[in-house]
Amino acid sequence: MAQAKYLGLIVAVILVAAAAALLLTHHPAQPAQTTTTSMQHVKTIHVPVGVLVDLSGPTSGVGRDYAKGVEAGLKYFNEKGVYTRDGVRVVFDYWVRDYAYNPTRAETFYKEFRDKYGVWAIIGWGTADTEQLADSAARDHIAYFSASYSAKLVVKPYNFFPAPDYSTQACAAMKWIASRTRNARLVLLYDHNVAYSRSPIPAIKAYAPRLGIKIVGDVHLPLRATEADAEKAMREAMTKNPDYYWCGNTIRSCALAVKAAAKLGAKGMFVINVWGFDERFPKLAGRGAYGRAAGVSPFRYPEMAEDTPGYKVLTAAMKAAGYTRKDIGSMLRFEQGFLNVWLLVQAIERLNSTTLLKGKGEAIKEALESSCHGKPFTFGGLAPPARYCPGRHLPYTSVWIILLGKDGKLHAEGPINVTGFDCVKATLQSSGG
Amino acid sequence: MPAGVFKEKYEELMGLLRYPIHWAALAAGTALLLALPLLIGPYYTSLAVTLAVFTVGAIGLNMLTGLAGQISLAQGALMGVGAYATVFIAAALHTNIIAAILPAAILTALVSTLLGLPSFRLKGYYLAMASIAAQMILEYIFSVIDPDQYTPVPVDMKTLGPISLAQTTTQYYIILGCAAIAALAAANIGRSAIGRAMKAVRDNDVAAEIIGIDVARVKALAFALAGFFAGLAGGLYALTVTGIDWTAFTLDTSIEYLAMVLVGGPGRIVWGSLLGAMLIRTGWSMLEASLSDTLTMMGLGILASASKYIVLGALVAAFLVLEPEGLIGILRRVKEYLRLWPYSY
Amino acid sequence: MDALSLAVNTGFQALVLGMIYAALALGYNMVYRASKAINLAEPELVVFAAYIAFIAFSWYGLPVPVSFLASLAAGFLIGVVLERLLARPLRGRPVVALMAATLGAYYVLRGVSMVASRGFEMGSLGIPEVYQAVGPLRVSLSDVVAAGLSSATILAVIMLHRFTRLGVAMRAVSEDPFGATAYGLPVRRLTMLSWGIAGAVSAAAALALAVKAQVGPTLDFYALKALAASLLAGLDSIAGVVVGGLALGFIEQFGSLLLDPYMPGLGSQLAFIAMLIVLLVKPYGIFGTERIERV
Repeated sequence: MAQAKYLGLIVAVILVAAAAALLLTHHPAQPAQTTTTSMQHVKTIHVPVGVLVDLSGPTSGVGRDYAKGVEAGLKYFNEKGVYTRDGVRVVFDYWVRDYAYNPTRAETFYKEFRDKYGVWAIIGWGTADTEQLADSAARDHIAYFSASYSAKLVVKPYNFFPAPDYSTQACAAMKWIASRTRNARLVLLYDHNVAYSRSPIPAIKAYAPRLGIKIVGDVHLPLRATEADAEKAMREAMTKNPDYYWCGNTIRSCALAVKAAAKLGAKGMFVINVWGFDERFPKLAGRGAYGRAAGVSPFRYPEMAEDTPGYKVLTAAMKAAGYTRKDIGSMLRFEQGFLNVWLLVQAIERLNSTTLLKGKGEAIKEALESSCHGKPFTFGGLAPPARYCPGRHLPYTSVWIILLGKDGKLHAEGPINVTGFDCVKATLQSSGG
Repeated sequence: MPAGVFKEKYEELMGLLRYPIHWAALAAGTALLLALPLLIGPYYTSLAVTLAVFTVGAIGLNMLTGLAGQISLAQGALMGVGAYATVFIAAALHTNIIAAILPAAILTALVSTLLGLPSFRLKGYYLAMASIAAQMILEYIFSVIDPDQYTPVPVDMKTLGPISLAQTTTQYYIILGCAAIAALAAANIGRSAIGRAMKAVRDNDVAAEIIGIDVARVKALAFALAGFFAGLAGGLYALTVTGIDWTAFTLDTSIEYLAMVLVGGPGRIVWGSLLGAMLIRTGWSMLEASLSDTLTMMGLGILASASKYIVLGALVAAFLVLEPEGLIGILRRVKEYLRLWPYSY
Repeated sequence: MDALSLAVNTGFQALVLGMIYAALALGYNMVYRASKAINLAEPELVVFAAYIAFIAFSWYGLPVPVSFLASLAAGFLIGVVLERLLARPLRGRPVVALMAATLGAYYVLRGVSMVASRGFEMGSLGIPEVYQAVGPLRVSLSDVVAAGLSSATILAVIMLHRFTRLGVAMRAVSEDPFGATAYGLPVRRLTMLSWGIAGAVSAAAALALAVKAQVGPTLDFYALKALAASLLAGLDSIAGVVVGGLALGFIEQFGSLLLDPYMPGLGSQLAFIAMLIVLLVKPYGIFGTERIERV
């Protein structure tokens, strides 16, 4: 077969390309080490950072804008210039990997980051993979910033995020419900087989009764739902006659549930977890959702914070990375990515160059934990001041509720502060860890 | 054939090591493999570990698909059965992982034989569909037993007597040893009476039955072997990770296993599987790293993610249409060409 | 809510989904008739076709019918290309080879739709939300569009086979390709046309599915489940898919209604369990013809 020859050729070309690419990309790992040798004459410090995002997996709908936010942040701060406390320039070398929401691939990339590039910090993404890598990160002294706000990460020594955990966020939502309706009836709608959806449920079950909220149902709503599935779940939920529904899934399936509620003429309001609600929700759920749904958010939506200094930084970063508003589906997701980078930058700005070079990831962790009794980290009004204490990385406990009004516009309510009850503990105790 | 070596006995002709060059290659290869972790550093060693794990799984599927002609899309899920079983058995009996691998592999072989039941009545594509159904059902079962998508593999389970197996280098030697034994066993099965019976079933099962081969038994055996190797791969995989989650054992994994076999060389159990795993798993990992960096810099990160699917898919289709013998076939032609050079035949 | 309305509404949803499954299954069956193999690229073809409609509608602002037509054309084209690049060269080789090759196409199509949709942008197809109560039944416009689209597709294919010379010719090619050649039928072109029509049918089914489940990368899951409908009917039966699809729709909807409170998520897996049972008990389906082989 004559064609078969070409096939061999193609395979050979791929192999040669792989080998060539391998040799070419081996260099960036070096600078981090070479600078450490002559500490006296350091001009710039290269901080290697691994970025783990989902561009092609099941959460890519929100993951893409988050990834843009992270990249824009790294580019922006590299251009603007980050300096340690003693005035040494810091430059981020970073590697972006798409792990497609697959924890196993995340672990492969983690090994690459650690062994090939020797990263000091990782900016990561999902619940399952971050929880899985938390102990490794602690062992390898890599500061790990995630987009998952799982309660299990609060107690891990090297995991950070500039938001309250899912359980505290859900507790704030309970408080909001209690403030609107006395003795409200609540149905929980979430996928019983997904880590992210399950994460805040124990805290809700522990906290809601204290506020007089009665949980009357616990209904399975699949993450991969059709309208028929959503309608079925809604019918079952409606038999309990609730005033509120907690939707703990991602945006696609929560939008379908709200749509089904509109179709069935259900009364009652949806309160939706942070990854289930953003600026695109009104369009996805349609007119029937107006005045029927609210989302939880630890941050102010950029559209609602245009007067804050933080917003100006955010838009500057967007421009630095060459994005316009049109390129970004949800500014909230972009903001979430950017804030993770900003937190890392602020930690580095608190360090001396020698401490940073010597301690690497450990130094970053200690800089973050220096805020426990010292000055908190601030985000220009986009998020409240954040403090991290050793053994408990819960930066603050307040949350915004974003209400989708009858006019089809989003209105912020809050912030709502959870005090007097430890929602993190409630979740950790229930899962035995 | 080089002049000077004459085989006088059947055993000599069928030996795995027939010529002096084989002995030399064996010695050099062993030395190289033993020294490898020192030469390539921890990251590439971890890639080699993954390669060995997936080669074992691919060998299993190659016996089923390449020898016995049964196409299966459940190898990924079976690997999952092996991995979960290993961790649960080790946790229940308070043993180390190595001790739990063998029972887990036997359990996986049983599950696999069960999945193979439809094949006694069905041929070809029907079996493929049964295996897709089995794959999806197993995925669901995993998601129920592992709802947090994370079953940790504690470090204190990763021991062998006084030796800790948490380090990539020690893992490398253990897994290399297991993979070598598995490969040797597979090679021997392939050239024994069972292997020949499997080939007869593949080529024409009705005819095979007429010449006295118990087709159902041979098929069941092929499934059991494929399951055993998948379970072994799953157990070894559990050794290499900090925790297992079911998203590692989805339909995509099964498709990639099939791709390894088809691209590497169906029927060439050991070398075909190794080449396929090398190209599809390791080669891709290495290419992906550099592709992502270049394309992300150009703002085309999504192209890097998509290229995996496009290139792998196109390779599978192209090999099936143009080169059914796989990479092995190409290599053999290259070898022939060089041997005869400068003559054309 | 009383039991009657629950039963009526669940039954109606089962009907709508059943028709979608039937249309998806028809895509498999048409390819099977033409090439005696199962087109495993269909699940990703479904994703791709749904995204073509979404991109045309949402990014290029084309009207809904035009974007639907664009999607059908894309489906047809992919079917034709698959036949030319895979099915034709693999003719005469074991069918398993063709199936594995379509599996390769499954991966390629996923990559292509990933790039085309800029990383699986999420969205809906913009069907306005209109609801109507008919007795105890609640119907939305999306139900009507989805059911209408899928049943019209099935009907069109049945009409093609029943009333046109082209349909009869396609049937001849499927039953006896050598005989058909002897009668001067253009076998290659007809096979290619079958694949093309199968692609367009899958695209139409994809649109109905996207109306009911939004546009997204997980649509392939439903197309995989439709394999069960296809098997239930018997792979070479055209009209049988309606029975197979409806059976699957009812099994799944009522099954998950009963099972979800106890085993969350088991309901959506019933299709695969049904598939295994059919394969074990009656592998050639209810309406399929049993194959008898010569050695």
